[in-house]
Amino acid sequence: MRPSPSRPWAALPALLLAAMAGLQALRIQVQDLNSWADGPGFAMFAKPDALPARFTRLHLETERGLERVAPFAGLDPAIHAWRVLPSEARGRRLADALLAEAFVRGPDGLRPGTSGGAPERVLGAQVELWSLRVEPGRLVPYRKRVVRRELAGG
Amino acid sequence: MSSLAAETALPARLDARGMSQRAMLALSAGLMAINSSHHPITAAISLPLLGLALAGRARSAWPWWLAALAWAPFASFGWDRFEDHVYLGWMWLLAVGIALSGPDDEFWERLALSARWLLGVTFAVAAAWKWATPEFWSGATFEFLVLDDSRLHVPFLAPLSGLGLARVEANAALLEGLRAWNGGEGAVALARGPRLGWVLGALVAWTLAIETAIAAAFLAPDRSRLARLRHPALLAFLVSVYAFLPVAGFLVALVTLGLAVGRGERRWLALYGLALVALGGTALVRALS
Repeated sequence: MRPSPSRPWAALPALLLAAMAGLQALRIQVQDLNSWADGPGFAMFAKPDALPARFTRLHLETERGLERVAPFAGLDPAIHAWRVLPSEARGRRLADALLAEAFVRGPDGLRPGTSGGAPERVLGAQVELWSLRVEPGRLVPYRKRVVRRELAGG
Repeated sequence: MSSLAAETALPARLDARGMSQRAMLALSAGLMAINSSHHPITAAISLPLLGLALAGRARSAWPWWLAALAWAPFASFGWDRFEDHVYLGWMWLLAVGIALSGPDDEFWERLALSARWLLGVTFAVAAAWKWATPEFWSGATFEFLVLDDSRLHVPFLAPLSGLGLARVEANAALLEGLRAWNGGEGAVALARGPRLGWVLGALVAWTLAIETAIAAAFLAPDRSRLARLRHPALLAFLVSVYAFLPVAGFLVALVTLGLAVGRGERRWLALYGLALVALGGTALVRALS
């Protein structure tokens, strides 16, 4: 059968897709990018350390020391971005978003807002990205990345 | 008649074209309309293309190339909003444009060639990741997946592993507890069913085998024996994965590309159409129940 003159062009989309997948593989390996989605990686279900296994722990530094705080709705985009790609810059953005809030101390600890408790003086923030490792018969959490920010003059 | 069909000497009735060029174009444009759910502003590209295709007015390459070009900034800079199958769909726009840029009687041949290479590359990359990841080999990835995804608890994990639904749900609650903002920092013990190891081993073996087989079959020359595995392997993958974990964009992409490799022939239209209706219907029933 005579080879069609269209053959080289018909392979172009696959070549471009292979190039994009190669670049994405590099980002997953080097930048710790989430491998299950977020770009043309095609690495879904390969590594367990992906978006569903990644979670964030948020801490505020007060005069009592580091205290864990619950995430609140306004932080969702920054938390998602940090879980997808845990870069220093994204960690700083999340910490800065946390520090931009006012906090009060209620009966259950620190919470965002200006009413329902005594205003709390915040000195800094620490955001942590955690992931989970599955071992036979156990689930092991581990800290992957920590970014700390202090308030100037805090 | 395609060379593959000639080799397998199918009855002419089954070999006939069951799908028109217009239907393939509408399905291809529909695929990108589904993908626009990831970034709604891209519907401004996908819906006009779908309208043109449905009206039979997208038979020139230009609308497809322009749509591919218009998607470029979103795909390049909005990558954290798109799953990988959106990129497959994006490249499919380019492939359709290339197929339409030649003589009409070469449309299906060009389209089949692009689809074949796209499927081969997609599954080669997916399989390579899994072969290269020790946690996949050990079953750890699947152990996490079947625990994390509640859609797999009732039909899959609880009965097959011998763990029972109550203990599966207790394990899932432990996982949720660890991910909670105030969760603990130490390891937690999981209950394991007597057959969990076998279930995980079977999942690992099946996934590696089917993804590698699809990659090899689609990348192999048309006249090789491996090429005969293309449609059976792709259909087996569709049924084995999307019956449990429906991802509409990927399902429609694989059905579209599978139909293109089959040059729209009636037998493939029947099988891929049945898979699409059955799997889409199952997903819909499960979503509503």
